[in-house]
Parts: sequence; structure tokens; C-alpha cells
Amino acid sequence: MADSAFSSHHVTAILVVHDGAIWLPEVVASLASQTRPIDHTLAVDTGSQDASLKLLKNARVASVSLPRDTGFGVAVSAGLETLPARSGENEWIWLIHDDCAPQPGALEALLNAVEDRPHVAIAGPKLRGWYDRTHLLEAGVSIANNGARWTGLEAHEYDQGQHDGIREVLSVSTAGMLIRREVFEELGGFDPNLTLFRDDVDLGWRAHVAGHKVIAVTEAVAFHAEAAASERRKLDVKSGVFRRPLILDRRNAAYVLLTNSSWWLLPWLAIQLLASAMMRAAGYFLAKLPGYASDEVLAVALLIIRPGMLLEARKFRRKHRLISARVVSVYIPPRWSQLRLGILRASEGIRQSLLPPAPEFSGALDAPTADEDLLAPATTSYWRSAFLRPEISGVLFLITITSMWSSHRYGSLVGGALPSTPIGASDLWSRYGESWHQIGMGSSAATPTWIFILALLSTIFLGKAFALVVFLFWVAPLLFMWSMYSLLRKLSQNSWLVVGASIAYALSPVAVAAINSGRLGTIAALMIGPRLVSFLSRMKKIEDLRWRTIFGFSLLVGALTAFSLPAYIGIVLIYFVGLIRDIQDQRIRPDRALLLTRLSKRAILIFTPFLLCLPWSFEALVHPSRFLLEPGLLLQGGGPNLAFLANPGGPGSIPWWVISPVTLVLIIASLSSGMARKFAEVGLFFLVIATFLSVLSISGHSSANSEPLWTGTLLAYATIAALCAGVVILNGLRQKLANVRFHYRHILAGLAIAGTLVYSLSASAWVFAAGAKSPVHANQSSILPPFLAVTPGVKTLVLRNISHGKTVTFSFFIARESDAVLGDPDLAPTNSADVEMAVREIVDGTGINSSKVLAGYGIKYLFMKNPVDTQLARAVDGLGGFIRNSSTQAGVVWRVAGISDRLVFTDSLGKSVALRTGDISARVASPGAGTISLAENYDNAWQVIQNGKQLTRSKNSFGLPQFQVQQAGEFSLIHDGTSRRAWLSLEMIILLGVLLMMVPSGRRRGEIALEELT
Amino acid sequence: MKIKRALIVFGIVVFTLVTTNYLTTGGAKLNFSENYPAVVCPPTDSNVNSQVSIASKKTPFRRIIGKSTGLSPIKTTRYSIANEAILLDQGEVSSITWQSLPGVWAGSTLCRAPQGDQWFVGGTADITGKGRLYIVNSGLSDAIVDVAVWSESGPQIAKVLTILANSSSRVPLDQLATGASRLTIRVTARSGRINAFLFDERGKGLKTLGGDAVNSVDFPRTDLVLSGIPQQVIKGVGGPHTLRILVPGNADANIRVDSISKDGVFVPVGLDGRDVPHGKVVDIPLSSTIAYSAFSLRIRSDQPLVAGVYTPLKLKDHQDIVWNSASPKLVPMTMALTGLAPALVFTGDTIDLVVATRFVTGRVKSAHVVGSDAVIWRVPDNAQSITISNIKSDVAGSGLISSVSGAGAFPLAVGSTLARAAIPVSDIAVINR
Repeated sequence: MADSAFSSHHVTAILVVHDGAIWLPEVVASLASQTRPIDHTLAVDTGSQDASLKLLKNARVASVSLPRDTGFGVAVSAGLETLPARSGENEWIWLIHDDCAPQPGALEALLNAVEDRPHVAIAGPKLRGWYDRTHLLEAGVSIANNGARWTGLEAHEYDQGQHDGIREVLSVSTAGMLIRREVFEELGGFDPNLTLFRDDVDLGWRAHVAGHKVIAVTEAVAFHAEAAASERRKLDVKSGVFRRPLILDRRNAAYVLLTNSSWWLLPWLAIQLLASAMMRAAGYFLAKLPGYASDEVLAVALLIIRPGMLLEARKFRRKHRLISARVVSVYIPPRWSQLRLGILRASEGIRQSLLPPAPEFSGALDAPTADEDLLAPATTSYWRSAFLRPEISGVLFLITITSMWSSHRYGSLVGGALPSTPIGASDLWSRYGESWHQIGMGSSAATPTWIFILALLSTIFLGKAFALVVFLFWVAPLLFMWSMYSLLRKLSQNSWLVVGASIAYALSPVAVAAINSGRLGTIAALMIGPRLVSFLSRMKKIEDLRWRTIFGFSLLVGALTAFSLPAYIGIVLIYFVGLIRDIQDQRIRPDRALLLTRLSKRAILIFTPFLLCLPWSFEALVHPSRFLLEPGLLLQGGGPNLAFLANPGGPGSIPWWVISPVTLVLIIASLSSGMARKFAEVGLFFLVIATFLSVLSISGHSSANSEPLWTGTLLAYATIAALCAGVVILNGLRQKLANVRFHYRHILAGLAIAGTLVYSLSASAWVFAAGAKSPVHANQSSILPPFLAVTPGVKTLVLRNISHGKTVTFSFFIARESDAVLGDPDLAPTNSADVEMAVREIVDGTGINSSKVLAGYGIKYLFMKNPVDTQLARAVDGLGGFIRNSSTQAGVVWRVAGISDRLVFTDSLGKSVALRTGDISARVASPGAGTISLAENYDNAWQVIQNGKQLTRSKNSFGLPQFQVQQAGEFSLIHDGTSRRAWLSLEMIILLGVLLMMVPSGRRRGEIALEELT
Repeated sequence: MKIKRALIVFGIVVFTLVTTNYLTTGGAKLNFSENYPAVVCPPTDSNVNSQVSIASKKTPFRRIIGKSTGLSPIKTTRYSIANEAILLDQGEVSSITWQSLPGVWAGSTLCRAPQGDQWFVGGTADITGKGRLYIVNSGLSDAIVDVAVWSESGPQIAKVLTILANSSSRVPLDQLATGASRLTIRVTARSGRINAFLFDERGKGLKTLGGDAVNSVDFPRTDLVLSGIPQQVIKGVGGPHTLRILVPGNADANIRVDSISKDGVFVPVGLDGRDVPHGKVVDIPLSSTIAYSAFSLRIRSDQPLVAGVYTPLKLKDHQDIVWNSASPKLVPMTMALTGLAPALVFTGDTIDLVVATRFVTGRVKSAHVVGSDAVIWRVPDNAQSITISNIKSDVAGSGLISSVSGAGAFPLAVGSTLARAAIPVSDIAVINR
């Protein structure tokens, strides 16, 4: 049969050449070595500028030269024109690219296949990679509805014969395509509009609708470098817009679909093409390949602007179509196949990035010999050896301690600096997004960014915000340990030392105090801090850090900044040290480009975290004291003496007599040399700063009380530095000291070790025994009596004694139907002077007009929390305007006389009526002309709209917003959140930008190594 | 090099600790608001003249009636009360209300800041009794008041009264304990800004027996001084006095009474170690020879008690009575006395104080009052106010005023004490568990 095939078929190979000198020698050789000799070989050169022509000449291949911008189809047609006229039915054209080398038996296999299948007009070989010749490129090709080139293969699929066989396909690649000359001419050759790419699919499609068959013959193999698609050579064809292969590919894909599909499919196809182009563009954008992203969009645009070309092409195809276009539908890949393959590729990509293949070792550790096997113990106790590992025993120890420590924290947590947690993530999201916060007299302050992070984490926690907080406080010591372990592992290989130091970190005074007193900011600093050290150690050579690393670190610092502005300030101080070094370095070795690179990277590091926290961080500039405060309620620190011992003090802190070795280690390490000293210098710096700052008394976060500043974050940095210095010193110290005579180092080392051991034991014992009695504990009760929470948004003035260490202050706040929740202290406004004066006069018994003031501010109830001062209660009774509602175990409640509603209408005669209102906005009817007073703090975003017109806003006698109504009728009260939305949008854009910059960059095809590509 | 570094580190440590400890400012601080609550002067019956001595014409005041809540300057230094009680906001200055029914009786009472608890020892609800208890609610909310009454037969059924906002209530004594001749009344405010005033007026048929305002004390004590008991000596014989005592606790009291006058201190016969039953109002007649001028009594008891002294006086054409209440320990004070020239009786082992008199002309004249046991010092005429200062020992004092209509006594006590309240601070922690 083979012989008959050889005799009955006439094969002309047309080799299209365009700067293919790299591959041409092998290609020519492969053609020459075919087991079924080619009857005639013709090369068509399209203006090659390399040695291609010379190579062809040396190989004695006849060639035709064409202009450089000639497309593939035109080149083939030109080649055909030089051939003698067709002499019989079995005349075949074998199309060969200059980067495609068929195996010797390729042509024979192809001819054998078509010999038995007279209805086949086109046959193609199995294409494998040029460089990695084991992986498959194609075995037949199709096109998906979204224009994707569909081979049905996985990326870099290894050829194990799994796709072998002869099967009908939509088309085969023009690289190695064997086509009957008769059919080729009948079909009119390649579409001249498809100068490159997708011309194969188009030809195959047209062959099918003309009643022919196309087969892929996997017995025939060719190796293809895909030089044009992989951007290994310039695109010089006429329609190669901007010389960009991707544009041409996408444009041609759309062209093929839109010209060959049935007309009724066109709208659906157009939508799919557009949508997939946009999605791919987004993907390329995320991969930081904006050029490819624009190619995707441009490709569609280029086609849309030339509808005439499409109509003409469809007209041409209609003329040559013998059967319905639907005949090709069996070759179009189903959507689920595309989806499956997409998921497979994505999961493989993720797997590769997360679990890169382990490097292959060789040499030193050879497999044990049979004799060595005999030396191994016959039985091993896996469990016993596992428990003897410091990591496992350390974690178990900490879990045991934490279990006892957290025994009062199983439930909704509150106390210390931590307000109660809203039930759901949605509450946190709405708090983050809302432009007006119903706290106190209302506030339009920017919500802290940590609310966003908690909302995000709560969403991951199935929307259970309180569960997240409980979990966070439970696992915090373990996370501290893990974070520190990751850092210290880089400093020492001594597991016992590293694990011991990590546990000491988890039980350090600052860690214990932060957990016990509900300091979210310090907890975040303790978790993230060790990670920062890893990065900061690389800052000296910042110019060598990739932008991706810079942005990734900025995001990490941004997350920390969201929780703790003091932490941000601490990091910025370190950045400034680096900046000073850069400038000094510049003076010694001037290098402007280097300086600019360094400065730009440092600028990104400094400003990006701040920008990520917009607009909250921006507001902190207006209220600089926020740079010293952490989230939550204002709670005192322990003052300078405790701070100097690295104990932040305050409620829930370790008692002073449990002295941590942090300061001692820092001092000792500062006398050493090398890395330990550097750590010690940084640690001492933060320790001294923290000590000085702890002198300050500061008010804020909705508390007018001045409290000694909590410096937990800075002490966390000092603790991290101390532990690093300690580990560096102790690492291998025993051997070092053993080799020298006894001197002061022995004493210092002994002191440090003894101090650490004493602290570790006493701190563990204290945490185990007394740690559970912390301010933060599970508590389901409520400060406000339940009936005050019935009406949404109702304001209640709460009076209560508050303990501040040894001092008890009499304090007040305006509550809105519930106790304080996360974010409230950070957002609540300061009370107006009127309210403060009214409360003051209530207490001193002179406030006969206090009730009027409170009513004017929309405060409906006065609640005096037990224990109630009976004299004061009598004074309130006597003041007038306060009607006693109840006196229960919770306390005494008075209703404020008069109209004390949120929205009040007052007519020209001074008669007032309350209007119904929702939480923030309202749609109610005004009974006539008059004034509408809103008992919320004045804000320019408050608007009342009636009949499409905005009513005039002004301030009433209390400085609250009021609106002049000209006529009766419905009106809408809204708080315009445009500004908030704009800020949020900006924040999201910045966040996406940073994410974009930190994700791995995609590579242009031209940048991918050939070995990887093919 | 290492020594140098060690010295630097040591220096940093020392500098940090010394400086920070020096700079430490402390934590939350309490701020206090100090003020003198406004005082209330009693209402009066329509036929009774009532004048309040005021220190300044600019003193803010308002009448306690209806919906009036705003304060306005009083524009006089001697204000005549028509009917309603008035509220005076004159700071540390105390005021005396002088009431008189011309030719019938006169009495004086201290205008006081609202009290949670007031004890009145005096009054009768027998056939001669025309007395009444005024309860004033100067607050702007309704008040609830408990009125407990003791008589010679023991405690009476307590009454609970609701006093409307900014109003007064007049309660005749015979409604509280009908037929009882010896009364002691306790007024306790459950809620509200409450003042009570007791007037004991007596008559027998058409014959008037006089009347007086009974000043209140805040709570029972074990050691009390009834200062400035008037003594009317007619033809060398002093008038009769009656000591009224109530031991409100659950145990009988054993008392010792000292008579203190400028003639010396002695214990009247039968009043050294006398038992007084609890829960009943006991009247103890005092000998007419107890003193020959105004005198004082000091009562020491093993149980807290309240006491008052009843003194009938014979005037030119009618009789009057005077009730002396216990005087608190004398503290520096300023008292408006425009139109009054009382005799001040100071009682104490050693008396050493300064009384500065401010006359209506603006002139100020000081007097150094020195003595022992009891010293009587008369306020000069045309005095607008007196200021007592430099009190060097424990002294109690009272004032005695006499006029053609009658006489009255009042304790030298401040009407309004400096109220010191911690200024509440805004703190969201109040709504955190």
C-alpha cells in the first residue's frame, strides 16, 4: 500500500521562510530525509534579512522571493503559481514553516492516512515542541466560541501516545499541513485577510462546509518552534498592527468566528468575544502586562471598525459553502471542556507556586547500603520521638497554658480596651461603608481600616465576627510563637533555643498585657512584627529588592498600620535611618541613579501603608494624637518604670515583680559585637522611646479622661529585638565560652540565662494561675436596660462611675440603643459643650434647664447606672424635666420631658411635633411650612429634599442641623455618602494597585525561555 | 572601647529613668464643680408678714409657683414674701426669714438648700394647735415625700405626699397627728428638691398663745447644743422652759444635760443620767431658775436623739413662744440680716471669733468676740450682713430676734453648703461592659 501511495500521490512541499535561519538547517534536513521523498520542494521567502536565502541556496532548494510584508497565505499562493498546472487528483501540497521540522516518516504517515480516506482533503501531523520534544503542541486544532485556539491539551502535556490515532478535526496547523492542491484551489486558498494566525482554522472550517474532511495523523510527527506566536521573530505582515502578534491572533480569531458561523449565532458570538476579551484583558492587567491587555481590546476594536470586510468575507464563504456551517459544531469544544481545562491550568499554576518541585539532591546523602540498614533500630516509637521534638513539645506547652489562660474567654468577648463585637460580618461591613455613624451625637469620621480587615476575616469566618474575635484571642499566643519562630529560625539552627525564645515571646509582658486588655493594635504588631524584621534586614540593599517585594511589604505594613498607627510610626523611624544612610552613602560614592532608585523605593515603603489606610490615616494628620493611640477604648498604660522593664502595664498586665529579661538582654547585647549589637541598638531605641512616651497622659477615642499612654507596640518591637539579640548571643555560646577563660562574658551570659529562666517560669505560672482573670472576658450582659434598646437609634445619656486604676471618675456618654461595639470608640464624636454643661449642671444640682438641652439634642432618656448616688438621684428628681421611669437593679432611668425625638418639625407658631425617622435617613411628611430640626451633629452631607429641591440647611441654637420647609408634603432626609464612597473607591483603587504590583508579573512570550515555551 | 560603650548605655539608662520619673504627670484626674445650691425660703399664710434679708439686690431669685423657672434679680435687700416660697441663688450667703403676725407672734427661720432629711422638734396638734407644715418642691419634677410623725404616744402612721413640681403644700399639723400635744416630725424626700418648714402657732379659743418657726436639724446626734434659749426674767424670776426630746432609735437613751450661760455651766437637777424612752416624744420641764439670761443646753446621750426647747414669752399685750433647735458646729459664714438686729449667742468652752458687720452704707466693722461658755453679741442696727470668721474652737451659735409682735430664734448655720461634685467627663467606657 505504501508503494502505491508513493506512486499515486504527487507531493509538493512549500516551505515558507521568513528570517528562519535558526531553524532552517534542521527543517531542510528533515524534508530531505523523509522516508517518502517529496516530489518537489519549493521555498517561498518573504524578504528574509538573515541567512535564510543563503541556506536555501546551499541546500539547493528552489525558492521564490516575495516582499517582506507578505502574509503566509499569499506566500503559499505565490508558490503555487510557480508550480506547473495540476496534473491529477492526487496532487498534494505540503505546507512547511521554516521553524517546523517533520520527522522522517511524517509525510509517509500522512499519505498512508489519506490513501485510505479519499474524502479527506487536509491532513496534519502531531506537533511537538521544538526544544522539549516530548511535549505536545497540537494534534488537530479548533476554535472556542470565545476565540481561543483550542487544542484540547493541557499546558506542556507530555506525549505518551495518549492522543494517538487518526481522527477528524476541525483543522490542523499550517505547519506540516498536507492538503489536496485541488481542494486548496477550489477553496480559494487562505483568506488574504488572515495574513498570519488562525488561517489554518479558517481553511479547515471552509473545507468542512465544502464537504471535505480534515484529519490529524498522530503517526506523523513534526517539531514546531512557533517562532511567530512566541514572539521570536518580528511580525512584518501588512496587517500586523503595531507588529503585535497578540492583536493579530485575537483579531483573526474573531474574524474566523464571525465570518464562518451561522448568522443567527453572530450576536451571541460577538458578546462572548467581547466579554472574553475584557476578561483576558483584566487578567493581563493583573499580570502587569498592559500591552497584552490593550491588544485584547484593540483586536476587537479593529474588527468592529471594518464591518464591510466581514460582510465581504461572509459573502465569499456563502458562495463556497455546500453544507451547513453547523457541520463544524462537533469540533467546537463544549463549554464545560473549556472550563475544566481552565480550572486544571489554574490549579496547576497555584500548585506550582505554592509547592514548587523539590530540588533534586544528589551526592552526599546516598541511599543507605544494606549494611547500614542493619544498624538502624528495629523498632522506633514515633510518638515518643515526636514529643521530644522542641517544636511539638513547645506548641503543646503553649496550648496548655493558653487553655487555662483563656478559660474565661469562651463567648462574646468584651472588656479592657475591647468593646463588644457585632454579631455578624455584615455589621462590620456596613460600619465600614457608612458615611454617618450613629454613635453619640453622630459622626462622619472615617472608619478605621482595621474594621475593613476584621470584616474581611469575619466573612471568611462564615460571617461570625464575634467568633473571629474569640478565635483570634485564643490563638494569638500560638501565632506570636509561630511568627517569632519563623524569624528566629533564620538566626539559629538550635531548635530548643529558637522554640524557647518563641515561647518567651508569646508569654512576654507585652503579649500578655495586649491579650488581657484587648489591645488589637499591639496584638497585630506582635503577630506581624517578626515578619517585618525579616524584611528590614534586607533594607540595606533596598535597590536589589524587587518592586514586587517592596509592594508586598508595604501591604504588610499597611495591614499593621490599619491596626496601629504607633506601629507605623515605629517603622517609619527605621525607614528614616535607612534614608540617612542612603544620603551618607551618596556623599561617599555619588551615584544619582542609585540614590533615586533607593529613594523611590523608600518613598513607596513610607507612603503606601499610609495611603492604604485612607481616609482614616489622613484624618489622623488632623488629629495627631491618634498616631499614639490604638484601636478601642482608651485604657491606661503602666508608666515609665514598667515600660522600661518592657512591661506596658495597665489592666491585665503581668505584675511588676515578674520582671522580664528584655531590658537586661538588650543592655548585655549592646555591649557585644556583630548582629546582636545591631538588634540591641534597635531594641534599646524603641525601649527608650516607649519609656519616654509612657510619661504622657493623653485623652482621645471618645474619652475626655487623660490616661498614661500605652506603649505596647513600641515595646513589642523592643521585645522582638531583645529576643533576636538573645538568640544570636546564645547560639553556640556554650562552645565559645568553653574555649576561653572565665571572664565577664560568662557572668553576663549567666545573668541573661538566669533572668530569662526566672521570668519564663514566673510568667508561665502567673498566666496559668491568674491570667484568666483579665479585663477581656466573655460577657453577654448589657449596660443599657433592654427596654432602652427597643427603639432604633434612641439616645440615652448614661451616667456611671468608671474606674481608672485607683481613681474613679464619674463619666457620661450618649448611647444609641446598645453598648459600645468595635469601632465606636475610634469613631465617636466629642460631645458638645452644651451637653457637657447640661450634664455638669445635672450633677451639681443647678441644671434646671438641662432637660431642655438634652431634649434639644434628641436625648430621650437619662440612665444612671448602679451603684447610684442617692443624693444625685434626688437632685435629678428635683431638677425638673426628668420623669423617673424605672429604678431597677441596673440603675435608675428618667425620661427627658418634652419632645426629644431625632426629627422634629416646628411651625411658625413654635409648635413642635416629632416626625418618624429611620436609623439615618427618613421619608416623612411635613405638616406645613416651618423648620425641621435633626438631632444629629451638624454635617454638610445632611440633606433634606422636597419636590426634588434641596432645602436650605442651617444650624439651630444647639448647633445642630435644621432645614426650612416652605410647604407641606413629603420630604426625604438623607446623609449624602458621595464623599465616603469616593474615599472608599480611592482606597480600593490603591489596594488593587498594590495587589497588582505585588502579584507575580506575567512574562511576555518573547521573554519566556524557549525551553519553557516549546 | 567596650567600657566607653558600657558607660554610654549606662548613661542612657540613668537619663531615661530619671527624666521620665521626673516628668510623669499621672493618670486620670478628677475635676470638681463647686457651687452653693440655691436656698428656699418658706411660704407664708396670707395674713402673715414675711421678709427675707438679702445680701445683694442682684441676687437671682424666683417664686416657687406654677411654671416660673427663670431667675431674675431680686432688686431689694429685704424681700417681702407674699405667699409663695421663693428660691434664692445667693451663693455662700445665708438668709433669715422673719415672719410675724402683727400683735400675735413672730418667728425666724433659716432659708436652706433642699434637704433629703429634715427633723423638726416642736409643734402640737392638740386643741391649741394651729401649726402647719409647709413642704416646698423647688424642683421642676413632681416629688414624693415621706412625712413621719412621733408624738407622746409614739410614732404615728407615716404619710406619703406627692408635691407637684415647683409648688408647695401646706399640711396642718392636726392632720398629721390629731390630738397629739407633743410632736416631732421627720420629712424625707424620696425624690425631688424638697424643703420643709414647720410653724407652731397656738391659740385657745380667740386667745392667741403665740407662734414660732421651728428650725430643722438634718439628723439625730448623740451630742447636741441648743444655743441661745431666751430667758425672760420677770420680777427676778425666769420663765418656764420645756425640753422636748425624741430618741428615734430602738433603744432608750441615757442623757446628761448641761446648762450653759454666762453665769457658768451646771447640770440641772435630774438631768444627769436621765433615761429617755425611745420612740416617744418626751417633754422635760426645766427649772425657771436655770439662768437669768439667754442660755444654752448641751445634751450628751448614748443614743442619737433630736431635741428642742420650747419657751413661752410674755409680751406687752400678748404671749409668744420660741422654739430653739440644735445648732450645728459654727463654721465661717456670711448671713444677710438687713432689717434685723439679732442677739447672737455663742456657746462653747472657749469662744474666740471675729464678726464683721457690713452696714447698709457699705461700711464694714469687725468685732473680736472672746469669752467662755456663752457669749452674747448683738448685731448693730443698720447691718446688712455679718461675716463670722476666725473661729478658733468648737462653738455653736444662734440668733435671737425680738420685736413687738414676738421673738424668734434661729441657729447660726449655713443655708447652703458648698456642694462639691465630681465633674462628669465624657467617656465611652460608660457603655462598655
